[in-house]
This record gives sequence, structure tokens and C-alpha cells, in this order.
Amino acid sequence: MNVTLAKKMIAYFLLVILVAGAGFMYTIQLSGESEQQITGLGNQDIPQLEKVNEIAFNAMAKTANARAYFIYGDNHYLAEFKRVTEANSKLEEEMISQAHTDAARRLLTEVKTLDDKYSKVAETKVIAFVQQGNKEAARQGLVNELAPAANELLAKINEAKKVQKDSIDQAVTATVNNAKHTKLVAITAAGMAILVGMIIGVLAARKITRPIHELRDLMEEASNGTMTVTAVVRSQDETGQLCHSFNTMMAAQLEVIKAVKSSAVELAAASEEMAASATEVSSASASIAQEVQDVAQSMEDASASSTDTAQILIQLSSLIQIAKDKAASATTNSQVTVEAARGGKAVVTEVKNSMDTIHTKTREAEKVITLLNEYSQRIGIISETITGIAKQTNLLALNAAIEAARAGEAGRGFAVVADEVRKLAEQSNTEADNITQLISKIIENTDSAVMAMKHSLAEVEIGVQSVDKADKSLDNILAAVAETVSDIDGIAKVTDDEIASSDKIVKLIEVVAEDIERTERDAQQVSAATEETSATIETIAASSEQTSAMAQNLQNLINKFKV
Amino acid sequence: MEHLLTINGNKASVSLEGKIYAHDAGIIRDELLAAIERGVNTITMDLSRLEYIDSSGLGVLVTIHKHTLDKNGKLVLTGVHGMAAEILKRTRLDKVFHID
Repeated sequence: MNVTLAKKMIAYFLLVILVAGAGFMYTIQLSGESEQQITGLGNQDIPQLEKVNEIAFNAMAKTANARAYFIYGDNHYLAEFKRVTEANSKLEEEMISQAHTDAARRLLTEVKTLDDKYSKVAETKVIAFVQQGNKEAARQGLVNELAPAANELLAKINEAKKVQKDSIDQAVTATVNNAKHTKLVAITAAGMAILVGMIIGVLAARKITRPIHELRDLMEEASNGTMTVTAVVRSQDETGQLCHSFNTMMAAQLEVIKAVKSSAVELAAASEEMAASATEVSSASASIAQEVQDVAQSMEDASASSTDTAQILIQLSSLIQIAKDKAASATTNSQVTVEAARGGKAVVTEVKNSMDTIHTKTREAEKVITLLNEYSQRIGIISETITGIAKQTNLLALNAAIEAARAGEAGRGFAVVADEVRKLAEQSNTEADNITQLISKIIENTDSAVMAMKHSLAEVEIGVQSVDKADKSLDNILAAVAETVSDIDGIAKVTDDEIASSDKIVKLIEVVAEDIERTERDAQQVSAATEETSATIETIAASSEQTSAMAQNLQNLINKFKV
Repeated sequence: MEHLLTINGNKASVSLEGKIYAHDAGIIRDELLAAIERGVNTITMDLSRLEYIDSSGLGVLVTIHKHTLDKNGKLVLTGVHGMAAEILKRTRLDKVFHID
């Protein structure tokens, strides 16, 4: 539980108040008793005494009335006697019932007994005789019995009065004593409360201030530089918390001082390094300024170069696009060439086919002519055979004419036939000669024809070869044109590349120019910034020297602390 | 595209009209290079009626400009406006050509 100082102080005050309160309570109790006694005196003892006095008075009155009745015989005294007797009896009963002590009750009972006895004696020995008229008996009763009873009663009543008075005196004395005791007790309680309060106050003050004093001493030590002091935490109250906080604070300060000490050393070294670095940076900054100026100059050159490059790029782009356009035209023209070459090839193929046909037909004609030559020669042989046959037939006809002549008339007809046969044989011979001549001519012509055919064949073959060459040339043309078309396609494809497109080139040139211009501007800004940096570095150099001096001061200050 | 070339001694003036694409650029290039070959070294080019020109046309202008410089002459552009002015500015060629 966290007992705070306030709670402790409240506890100390409560302790003092408790001691004082106990004294006061006791005093109040005693005062209460005195009050009760005085109240009892006022409410009981004094009225009791008054009642005893009244009983005594009534007893006197009874005696007086009994005597008056005896003397005067007046019933008024008898009635008064009875009233007083009854009143006394009531008072006595009342007092007996209210008696505090057995002795008092006993005494009052004795008074009542004596009173009752007196009343009885009065009624039987005096009043009865008076009523009977026996005065003498009544006087005897009065003198001999009633008077002693009265004396006895009055003596007992006086005794009771005395007892009651003594009781009152005793009560008064007790009350006075009680009051004195109360006063003493009250004074003692007050004194005790003051004493205990002072003791508690001193102890509490010491208990509270002792750690504070210790803490003050520790703080003085700490203020003198001893940072290793530690407060002893004895309680959990504010003081304890204060000690704990002091320890925490000292630990933190110790850490801070250690760190500051270490940092001061580092700072001193760093500031020296910084001063050295500032010099280096200053030198480097000068170099950078020179470099930046060079860069700015280079950028100006680059700007000029980029303009040249832009011109060349645009020219290149233009040429590529024009080439692309021309490639498109060349493609169209190549298509025409291809079509023409294909047409030529078709014609050549037809020519080639025709030449082949001529070749074939010529060969066939050659064969036919050769065959014709053979047939002619065979016909020549046949013609010779016919000539021989004709000669033999002529001979036979001659022989037949001879025979017919020999036969005479009978043989005339036969001689005619033989002559006809001879004519036919001659005609055959002649025709055979003609045939031979014709055959000779035919053979001669067919030989010429064969020669001509062979010559034609040679020409046709030369023609076929030429057509083949033309065909191959056309093939070559087609292949070359195809290759050209392919190349042009390649050119078209290459020139189709977006890099060469107008927008791209313009954009590229613009971007490059912007980059160079931006770099130029940046270089100028860097140059300005470098100048500023140089100025700043000079300031830093000056500051670092100041820092170095401050670090030395700081070290001197920190060395005062014992850590 | 339409263009009108007038040659007077070593001076030539050409007016470009409408839109110039690669095909037109090729024609103008051939004609002007031929003119330079024949001794023309100062060419004035009127672009006031030019509606469109791309890098193919610009390249021809650069080529002509360089050839006239080689012949100790010059290429002068007049009536530069609109799209042509913008593309010349974008390509920084406005710093290269002599523009009236």
C-alpha cells in the first residue's frame, strides 16, 4: 500500500486526537456521573427528604388531630386524622417503592409499620373509646399507648430524616469529589494530550524531515560534483518517492554527464576533424566549382553538338522516309518487272515448246526422208530389175517376132502382139530409165533434204539452247527481281521502324535538347549553389573552431564532476 | 502539295503550299539539289501557305541549308507560322535557320 505523507500526518493527528479524545471521553463520563448524581439528588434525595419531612409533619398532624378529637370530640379532627393517615400511608408506600437501598427500604418499612401501629392504636384505643364516650379509657389509651407510639414513630421518622440527610450529604460530598476528580482527569488528559501530541509531533517531524535532511546533504554533495551519491529509500511515502526520484534523477544525470563527458571528448575531436574537413571541403568545393564551370562549358558545347546532331538526325529521318517512299515505288516497279519477266518466261516456254516440236518434227522428217531415200534406192533397184525384165521382154518379143515371122500368116497376129510386147518392153525400159533418173534426182534431193534437215536440226538445237538460255536468264531476272523486292521489303520494313518516324525523331530531339538545356541550367544552379556552399563551408570552418573551443570548455566543466 | 520554283541567276525562290509528306519532300529535295548543282546558292523559301511539314520535309530544309552554306550562300525561310514554327522550335532548328 502506498502510505502518503499526508496520510501519515493525518494518522499522527488522529493519534493525538484519540489520546485527547479518550481523556475528554473519560472526563465527559465523569461529568455525566456527577450530573447523574446531582440529578439524582435533585430528583430523588431532596424530594425523599421533603417527603420524609411531610411524613413527619403528617405524623405531627395525626398526633394533633387525635389529641384534638380526644379533647373536642369533633368529627372534623377525626376526618382530618383519617385524611392525614391515608396521605401518610400513600407517601410511605411511595417512598418504600422508590427506596434505593435495602436499608432505606427497611427503615421506611419500619416507619410505615410504626405509623400503621400508631394509627391502629389511635383508632382502637382512643378514637373508639371517644366515640363510645369512654373518656377515661380514651385518655388511658392516649397517655399509655398512643403517646409512646407517637414518640416511637417520630423517633423513627427523625432517624429516617437523618438517614436521608446523611445520604444527601454523602451524595453531595461524592459529587464534589467526583467533580474534583473530573477536573483533575480533564487537566491530566489535556496535559497528556499536549505531551503526547508534542512527542508525536517531534517524532513525526523528525521522521519526516530526517530523509529530507539526508537528501539535502546528498544534494549538497551532488552540487559539489559527487554524482555517485545514492539516497536510502526507507519508506514508500512521498519522501521515499522523493529519495527514489532523487536516485533516478542522479542516475540519469550521471548517465547524461558521462554521455556529455564522452561527447565533449568526441565533440572536441569531431570539431577538429570538422575544421580539417571544412578546409578539405573548401578545397574540394573550389575544385567542384571549377568542374561545374567545365560542365557548364561542356553543356554549351553539348548544346551546339546536339543542334548539329538534331540536324543530322532530321536529315537521316528525312532520307529514311524518302527512301521508304522510294522503296514503295520500287516495290510497285518491281512488281511490273516481275509481271513482264513472268510474261517473257511464258513466251519463252512457248517458244521452247515450239522449238521442241520443230526439233521432233524435223527429226521425224529426217527419218521420213531417209526412209524415202531408202525407198528410192529400193525403187532404183526395182527399176533396174524392171529394165532387165524389159530387156528380157524385148528379147523375148524379138524372139517371138522371129518365130511369128516364121509362122507366117498364122503368126501375124502373134507378130503384132510380139511387137506390142516389144514396144511395152521398150516403154518399160524407157520408163524404168526415167524412174532411175527420177530416183537419182530423188536420192540426190533427199540427200540434200537430209543434209538440210541435219542443218535445221543443228539450228533448232542451237535455237533450243538459246531459248534455254533465255529461259534461264528470265529465271535469273525473276530471282533477282524477287530478291530486289525482298530487299526493298526489307528497306520498307527498316524504314517502317518507329524510330525513324517524324514524331519520334522530333520528340527525341526535343527531349535531348531539353535534357541538355536542363543540365545546363542545373549546372548553372549547381555553380551558384557551390558558391553558396563555399561561403557556408567558410562559416562552418569558423563555427567548428568555435565548437572546438566550446568543447574544451565543456570538458573542463564536466571534469568537475566525480563519476 | 504544290510548290513553285523560280530561279534567277544564283538565286532561287520557292513557295511551299499545303501539306508536305515524304514523297513531296523527295521531289523538292531532288529539284533544289539539282538547282544548287546548277549554281544556285541563295534560296528563299516561303512557308506562309504551308499547312503541314514533318521531319522528312525538315530534313530536306536542313540538307538544302547545308548545301547552300557549302556554296557560300544561305537558305532564308519566310512566313514561318503555326505548326511549322512549332516544330522548328521543338527541334531547336529555329536557332539554325535564317528566318525572316
